Amino acid sequence: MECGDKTLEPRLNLTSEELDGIKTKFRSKYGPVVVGQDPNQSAKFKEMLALADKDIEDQKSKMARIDYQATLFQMQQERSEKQRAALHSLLSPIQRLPNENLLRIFEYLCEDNMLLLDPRNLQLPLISYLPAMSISFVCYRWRELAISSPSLWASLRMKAYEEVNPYIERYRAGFTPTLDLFIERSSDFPLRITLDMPCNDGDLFALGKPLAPLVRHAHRWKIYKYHHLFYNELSKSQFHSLTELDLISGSRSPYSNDLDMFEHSSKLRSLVLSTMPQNPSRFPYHQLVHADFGIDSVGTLDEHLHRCPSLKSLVLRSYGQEPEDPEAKPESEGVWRNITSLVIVNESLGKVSNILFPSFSFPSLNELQIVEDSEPPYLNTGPPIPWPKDTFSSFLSISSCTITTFTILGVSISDLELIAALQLMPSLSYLEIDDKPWHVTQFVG
Amino acid sequence: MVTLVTSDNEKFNAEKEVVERSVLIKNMLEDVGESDQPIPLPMFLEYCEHHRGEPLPAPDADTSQDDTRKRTTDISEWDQKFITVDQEMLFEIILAANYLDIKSLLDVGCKTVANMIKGKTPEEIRKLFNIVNDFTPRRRCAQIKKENEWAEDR
Repeated sequence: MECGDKTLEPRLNLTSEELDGIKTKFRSKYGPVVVGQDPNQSAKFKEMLALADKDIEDQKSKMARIDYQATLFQMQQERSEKQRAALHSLLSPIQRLPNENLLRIFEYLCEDNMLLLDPRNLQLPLISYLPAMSISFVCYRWRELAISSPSLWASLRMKAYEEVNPYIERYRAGFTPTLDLFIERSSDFPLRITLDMPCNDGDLFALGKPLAPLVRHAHRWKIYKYHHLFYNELSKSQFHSLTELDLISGSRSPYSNDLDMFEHSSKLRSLVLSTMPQNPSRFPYHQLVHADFGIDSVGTLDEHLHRCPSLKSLVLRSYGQEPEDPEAKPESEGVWRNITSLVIVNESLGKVSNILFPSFSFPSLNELQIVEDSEPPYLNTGPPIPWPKDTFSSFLSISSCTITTFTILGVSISDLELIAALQLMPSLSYLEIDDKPWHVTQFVG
Repeated sequence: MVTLVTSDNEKFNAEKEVVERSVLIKNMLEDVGESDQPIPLPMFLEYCEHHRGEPLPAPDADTSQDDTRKRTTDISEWDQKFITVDQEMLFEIILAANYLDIKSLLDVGCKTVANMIKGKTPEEIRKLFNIVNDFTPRRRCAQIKKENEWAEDR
């Protein structure tokens, strides 16, 4: 683009000699006084001065025009840059995805919207922990898609740290509206709730108000995970949609009457507990098809299996350090025909295997996983836990089950023992072995 | 054996069991029946070859069937290596997996993109994918700012 005007020709254009002549007059004996006394010279210089004034005026006006044009160019450049960015954005590979694919990505992303009740010492900006919110601020298309997809707003993890109480007022003002927004946008979609709160009783009381909107929607909770203390504020709620309950308590296991609030959860099928309450309650154990809990003896396992006769999938962990009485036997015959999948997590030196293999049988079992999850080697100074080859082989033989999937993690087993074990499973189609001595594992029901 | 023809007319022979990991190809083969006619499709043989023999998802096992199930973004080591490509190729793979109806590959692609977005602010996401902020000033200033207030106030 061209400016249109040519360079200005100055009206006053003194040569270097003429300029030197003027300077000489300043340096003369009588100085500029002489010039003032000569009318011809005076008129000549005044005329030159007028020409210089006009030149400067023209130049100023020319510069103003150039400034204006520069501003115009700058605006034009900014507009071009925006257009270029928009075109780039249109051609961006992710924009080629249809909404169904984009939504699938968003669904994976929004599995964990974490509302932090006490966002101190965060590594990332707060919004980074709320992917549903983050994607809804990216662009118009993403926002429309996010807002019209209730599933993205239905997974909520509330996390608080120690000593919530002093900070609760500070964050409640923002936390509650954000929680309201998630509940509103999740519409009627079943909620997946995780409360992760290692607080004391005072803090739990303080949390009552911020969490009130969530408690009002307890009937929509489909998955409820609660870590640390038991949240009794929910005791009057009805959990009609609940299918999975995960209560990993850091300080204590729930008492029998703590679980009564789930009495009418007719859809409940999965339960994860550190340890089962000792006494039966109104909890619908008979509905469970998956359970994950700790056992310390043949007696407790027998009792818990009787409580949950519909179980098909079972994860057993050990607690307590007392060795199991090798002669202990279940009161019943110890045959459980519904169970098809079993995970044994030996957290106390092979204890679950010692309890289970000699005393119970599962004729329909086809998936078996054994995990040695005892203390790491530097704490466990004793010899590695031997593979229970005799009890294992008698367990498989008494169960007469057809194992098709077999996984052993962190278990010390020799090649010969493994070959002997595999010979007992002729229908095996999937085998996974990881003999690392220390394993941190998570099991999803 | 089945003959696959790429868009630039290159021909590949592959075992039926391998290519049938694509539901689209499986359905096409069923429609065409036993025929020597080549099927014009892009190649995803490497992926399908590696996952040969693994159980195919049931036809009704799509996300819409159980929207509330837990979705994990874990990806196996081999799949991670397979999908370590530039953005252009990554989204091509997702589009092709969608077209060919290879659910497991589509999931690997979508999980990879989800992992790329995880923990990022809207501005960082825009930069990552070259997306322009196209909200009108009024919309941006009012509603979005209001929603984002808590997140900004820290």
